[in-house]
Amino acid sequence: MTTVANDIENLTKKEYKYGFVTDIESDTFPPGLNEDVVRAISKKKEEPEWMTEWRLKAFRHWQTMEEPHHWPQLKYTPTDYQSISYFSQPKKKDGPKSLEEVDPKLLETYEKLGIPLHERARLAGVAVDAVFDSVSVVTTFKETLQKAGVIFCPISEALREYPDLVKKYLGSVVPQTDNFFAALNSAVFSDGSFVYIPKGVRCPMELSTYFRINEASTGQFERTLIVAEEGSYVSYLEGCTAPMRDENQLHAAVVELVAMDDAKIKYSTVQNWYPGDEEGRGGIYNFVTKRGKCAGRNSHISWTQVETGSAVTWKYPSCILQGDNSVGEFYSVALTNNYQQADTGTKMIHLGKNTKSTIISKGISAGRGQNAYRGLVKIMKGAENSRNYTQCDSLLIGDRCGAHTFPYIDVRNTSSLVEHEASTSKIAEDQLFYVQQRGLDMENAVSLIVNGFCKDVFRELPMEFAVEATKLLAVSLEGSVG
Amino acid sequence: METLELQDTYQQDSQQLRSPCATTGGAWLNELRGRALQRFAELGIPTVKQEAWRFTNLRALSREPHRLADTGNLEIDPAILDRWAVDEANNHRIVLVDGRFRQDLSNLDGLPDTVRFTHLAAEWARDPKFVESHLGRYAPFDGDALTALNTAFLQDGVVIRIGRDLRLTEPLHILYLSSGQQAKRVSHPRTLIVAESFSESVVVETYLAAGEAAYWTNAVTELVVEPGARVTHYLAEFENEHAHHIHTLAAVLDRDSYLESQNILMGAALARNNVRVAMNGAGAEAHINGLFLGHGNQHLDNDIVVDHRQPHCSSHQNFRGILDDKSHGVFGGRIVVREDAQKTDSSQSNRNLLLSDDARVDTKPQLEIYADDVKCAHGATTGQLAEDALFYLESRGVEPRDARDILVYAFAHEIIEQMKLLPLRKQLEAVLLDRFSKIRQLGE
Repeated sequence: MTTVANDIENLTKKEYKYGFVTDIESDTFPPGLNEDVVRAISKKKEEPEWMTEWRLKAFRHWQTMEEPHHWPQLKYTPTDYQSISYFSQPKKKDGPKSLEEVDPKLLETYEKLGIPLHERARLAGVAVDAVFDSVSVVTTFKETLQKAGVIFCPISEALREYPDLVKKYLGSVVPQTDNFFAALNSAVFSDGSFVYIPKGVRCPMELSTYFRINEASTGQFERTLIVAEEGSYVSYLEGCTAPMRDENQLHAAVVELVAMDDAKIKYSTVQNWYPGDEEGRGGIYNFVTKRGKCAGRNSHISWTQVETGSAVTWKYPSCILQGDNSVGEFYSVALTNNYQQADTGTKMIHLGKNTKSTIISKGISAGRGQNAYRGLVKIMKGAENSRNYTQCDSLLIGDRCGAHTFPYIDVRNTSSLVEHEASTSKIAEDQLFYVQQRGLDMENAVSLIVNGFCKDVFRELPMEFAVEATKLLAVSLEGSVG
Repeated sequence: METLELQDTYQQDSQQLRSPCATTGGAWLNELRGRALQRFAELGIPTVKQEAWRFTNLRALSREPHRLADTGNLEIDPAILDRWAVDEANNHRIVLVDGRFRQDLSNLDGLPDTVRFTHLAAEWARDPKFVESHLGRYAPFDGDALTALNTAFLQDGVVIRIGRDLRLTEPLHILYLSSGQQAKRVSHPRTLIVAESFSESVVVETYLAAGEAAYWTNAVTELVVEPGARVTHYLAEFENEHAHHIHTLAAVLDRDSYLESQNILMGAALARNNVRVAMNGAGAEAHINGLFLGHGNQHLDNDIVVDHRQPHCSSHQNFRGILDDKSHGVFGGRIVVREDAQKTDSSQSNRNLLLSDDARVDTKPQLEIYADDVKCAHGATTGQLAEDALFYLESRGVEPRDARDILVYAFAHEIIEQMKLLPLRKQLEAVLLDRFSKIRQLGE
């Protein structure tokens, strides 16, 4: 088995494929955070006054809060919130109107990332609202979407163009005071996406945002808000990569989804930020609050995530099942290698009658990675005949990694049924042997087995993402057999 | 103010305990008590803000201080005790009332020489070295305020020592009786069980009350299972339904040892049962089972931590809860598998039955795994009686209420039938049936 050990060593030492820094002059605030900074961000964004107040309320509340340290299964150096710059924007004051106007260097970055915006977007039928650091630079397929009546734009633009819509829904699912990082995000979020699907509209294409962190020491605070009116449908894709850095970077995004009667929102994420080097130095802190509200009857929210990057991942995409007969789903693959840590899972809060939720979570730990599933299923008294099924499996690769499961189940009526199952095991030697015996090398054998392990989740991903996710997993894992 | 008053009371009571005339044990014990009291003062009564106490609120304990229960030689009707006898033929029992040993009610005769079955104060006098080398070693109180408080009030309790190679089939029965005459009283029962190599034994701890007052029992049991030894430990909690009951079993398992821990929570307004099992030697095996039956406004909480520190160990948890009326059941189970504990085989199952819309269950079965070559699984379900099963019985002419009783009984019986101690099983079945008949009377 020594050769195997060598293989592992070689493979896990693979360099981060997407590590580079683009040198574009930035319009960046000096580090630090106080009420003036919050005001300045708001001003820079030309926001209405109520929005400035909204941010300040969040900031004032944030100051009274403490960063939670005791309960998550995570160890990390605390962030100094005064040493972060809260705003950074590529220098091209008047937004480009077509691809030709876009800074060529920026386009080059996308090339390296494998996102040929102009080609791929059209070929794949994907509208890409590319966020480069904090300001959305390019938005494609606007017209097609406009015809359907769909609004898909940077949230800063939405604040100017559709203030009433934003005002109505912003913070309605994740209030400013919700938690430490949501409060911080509410105070200083720089940009993000806003999606509005009108009544009865099936969004003609899959919406996608690729964003990446580029400016050193810039925390990125994305804010996404998706509203699906009665009978509408939208599938939203989010994927990201980030350049190599030595310092830890904080990413504290907030995503809010609202689904009305009979509406369906499908939200897919592939996350591949810089995980730090093999000694565990550097890497992104990914502390995200994602929550969807099934506000209407028969509404449906589905979260799918593939988390392979970041030094520390800490997020629980959740569903509030308020409308009767509403459905919440959570499908997740989280992979941790080297010194990566993940504490992720979901919360399903059943309020309406006949609500259903499904949770499928697959955790893979390799190297010295620590992977925790933490989930809450809460069935309130009024949620009659509700149903939950949870399955969370962990796969361990190597004898120095960890896999943890912390489900919380809270049931308060007699007509509901909740089931939770979990298992933890290592890659079976006989499976490896079987596959290798048929001529696959170690690396491909592991990749095949891990992909099989994750199949239930990958099946939920849109086609393009499924391909990318499979590749990502292979790259992040290659050959790390224990 | 409240906290200060609380601390003062415990400080005073503890001081009284340590005064020269009342002292049992040596200087090291006073030092241990002092350290424990100090630690309790630092930690305070746990609050719901602490993760381990999220669902169990000890407000009633922190709001008002509880004085040390002291009822002297209260007249006790032996019938109360006989009702819970687990072995009528031999009846090896030790009885403590409000934490104090009662010679008149106990029966310590007829045991082999290599068995020590006595109260703590007596053992201190006889073999202080033995007590010193074990007591307080297995139940750490650094992170546990209530164990600290128990240790601070160490005074009397029970010592069991099963000699090497001895196979003792007769159960040893410990009865902790609370007088229940006065409210806001606390007792701190302490039990030490040392099972020496290759011995085999059965120990039953029964908690009950003579009166109806709202007292508090804060018990700690330390259990060490030496290489190759086998211990079956029963906790039968039948406190009155105004009481607070906290019980911590801290067990340390050595190489190739075997522990069977059966936990029954039936009584108390609030019961919290902590089971801490450390797998300290390769090849150790633990089975931890439990049944909790809640009705009225009862709050029943089981908190299990199994710490796999060595390879080739196995542990299996199986807990079932039946919750009626406005009762609240909690199950917290944690399996920790350390880096070197390869080849661990561990499982955890918690199934709950809700019989009323006002009942509630919180369950958190947790796995924390740092080794790769392990087999760990856990599962939890919360639901109600299966409609098709009810229908099946009804279609065969069984009355709906009887059908319900049969199914609930069967659900509980899967835990009960694993208990090998027949008299105890009979007691449990009686309590179960008693509850059914109460439900029936209400219905009619």
